[in-house]
Amino acid sequence: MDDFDDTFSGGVFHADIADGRAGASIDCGVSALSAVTTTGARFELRYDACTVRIGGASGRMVFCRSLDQSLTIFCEQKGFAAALQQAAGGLLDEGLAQSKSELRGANARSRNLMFGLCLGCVVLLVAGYFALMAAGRAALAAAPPSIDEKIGELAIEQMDLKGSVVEDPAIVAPLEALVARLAATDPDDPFSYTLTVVDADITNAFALPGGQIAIYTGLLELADSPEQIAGVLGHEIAHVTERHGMHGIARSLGLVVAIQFLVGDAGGLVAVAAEFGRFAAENAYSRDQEADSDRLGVERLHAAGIDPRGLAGFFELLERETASDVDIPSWMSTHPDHAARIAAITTQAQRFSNQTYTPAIPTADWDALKAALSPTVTTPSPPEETSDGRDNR
Amino acid sequence: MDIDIQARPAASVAKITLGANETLTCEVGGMVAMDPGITVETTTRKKGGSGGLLKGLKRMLGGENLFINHFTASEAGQSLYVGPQLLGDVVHHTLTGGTMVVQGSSWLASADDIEIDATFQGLGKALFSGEGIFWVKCTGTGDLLLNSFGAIYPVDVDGEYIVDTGHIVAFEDSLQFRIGKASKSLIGSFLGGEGLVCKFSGQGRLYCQSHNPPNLGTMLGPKLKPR
Repeated sequence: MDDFDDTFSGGVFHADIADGRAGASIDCGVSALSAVTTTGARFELRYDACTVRIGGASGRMVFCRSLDQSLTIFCEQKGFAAALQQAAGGLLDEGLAQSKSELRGANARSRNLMFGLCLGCVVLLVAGYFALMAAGRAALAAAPPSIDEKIGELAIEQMDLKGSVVEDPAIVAPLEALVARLAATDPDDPFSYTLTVVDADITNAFALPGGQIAIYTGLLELADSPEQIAGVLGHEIAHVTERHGMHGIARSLGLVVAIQFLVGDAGGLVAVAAEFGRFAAENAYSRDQEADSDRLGVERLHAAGIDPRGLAGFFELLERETASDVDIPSWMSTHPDHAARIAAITTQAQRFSNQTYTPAIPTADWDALKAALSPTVTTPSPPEETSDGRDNR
Repeated sequence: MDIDIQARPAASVAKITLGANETLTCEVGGMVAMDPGITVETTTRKKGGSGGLLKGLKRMLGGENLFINHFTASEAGQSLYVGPQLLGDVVHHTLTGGTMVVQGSSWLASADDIEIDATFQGLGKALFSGEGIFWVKCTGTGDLLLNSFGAIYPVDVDGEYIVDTGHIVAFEDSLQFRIGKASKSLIGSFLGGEGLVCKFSGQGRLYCQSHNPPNLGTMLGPKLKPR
């Protein structure tokens, strides 16, 4: 038999071979394929008596099989399919074309299934994330207020307040009376409020879950009127009643669980990611939460008979101070929309029909408070003043 | 080379008796015991072969070690025992010039003429076959020892055959496999506990393992104390 082309390296399946399979060198002859195995056995397969198929692990292996299926000669060497096609003179063209088409179809189906599965996994992960977040919110809604109180008490004990707690009754008593006056406007409020005055030159105040409110002497120093202080306190009380701090905690916890769900138990990664998430979540309330607290604070101030424009007045004061003093970073840095907040508060305050207000703190007490403040103010340790505790206003 | 597989199938070890100057290439840590006359050489390539470090790194991707050990007998009749890491079977397959595609970590040892390389089987198979991303490719002529988790059973496929994911040990390159659904409906496939399966087609030898290492991990994981 004349060889039509080069010799190719491949293999043979036949029952006469030990284990049924052997490597072989293959020649594309004029009328038949011939294969000589590594053990010297010779096999021949006529082109007009065989079927051809493409497959194998690589998807490029060409199988020529006798019609009675007793003999298969296969090869995946480059150029074999072309040499076979040429040598067979068109006898195997149809089989090769059909096999290629089937292979393409199967590959496409496989690709589509893979794509569908990958897409399904992504959808499941995203849905899982949001479901966990929703579960966190639902758990919060079901939690009794006593949980808020425990968390708030624990948090304020563990916090570095950046200054000592002020005990001077000239400062504390009128502020406590103001908080009590504001709290009394809502008899259904399940929270009781505890005010902590911190001696540090920081223009800040914050609320923790359950009614823990802290106000800094720096803020008291800056305020022009007791109504401004009342505005800040009314705003902070609204953070408590709306459980904004708890929402933040639920979000952080939800994030931890979601990250664990997404990446499995990947210890370090989860810890780092959770820490990052917690930091981001705890360092500011959302704009919606701030706007809610402004609105509810104004309502509460009005109900207590205190001029709610004090809150807007405090924002204006801060705006002015910020222009000249770069050391008032907190309100402005996290709330660049203060102008809009001032406008919203003013508009809301104008809508109240009865605008008969009494001073938030009696004038004599306010004067005594301001007088008592001066000697107590000390310089705080500045570097971390806004990155640690709850900088929320 | 005379191969005697003992204590099958739960805790198999292979006793290999070498001829003079005959070499067995074995995965790192696979040797259990040996005659003192056998010398050991550690390389990243086939003995006397090429490829070096790159081939070793590719093999690592396939789930094997960067290094491989070559055990050479100084005189005829010296023997050594090799065993798998997981409790399971060892099977002897003779390669006659073809290629065996082996799931990562199932290659145990082979004659020094056999080239050990890694091959990528496609992203879909990597994600859903229950096996590694890369597979070990053994090519050449000679003896090949494979190990499994649990018992190994060989199947001579001629046509189509279905294996659950995670149960493939090795298959000849004349076989093609795709990931598919166990039943016609995808939801039914998952509800039936089988989910995705590996569908083989073509002609050739396939080795399956009776147990599935990821399932063992899933079962044991929650019971382990956190470190």
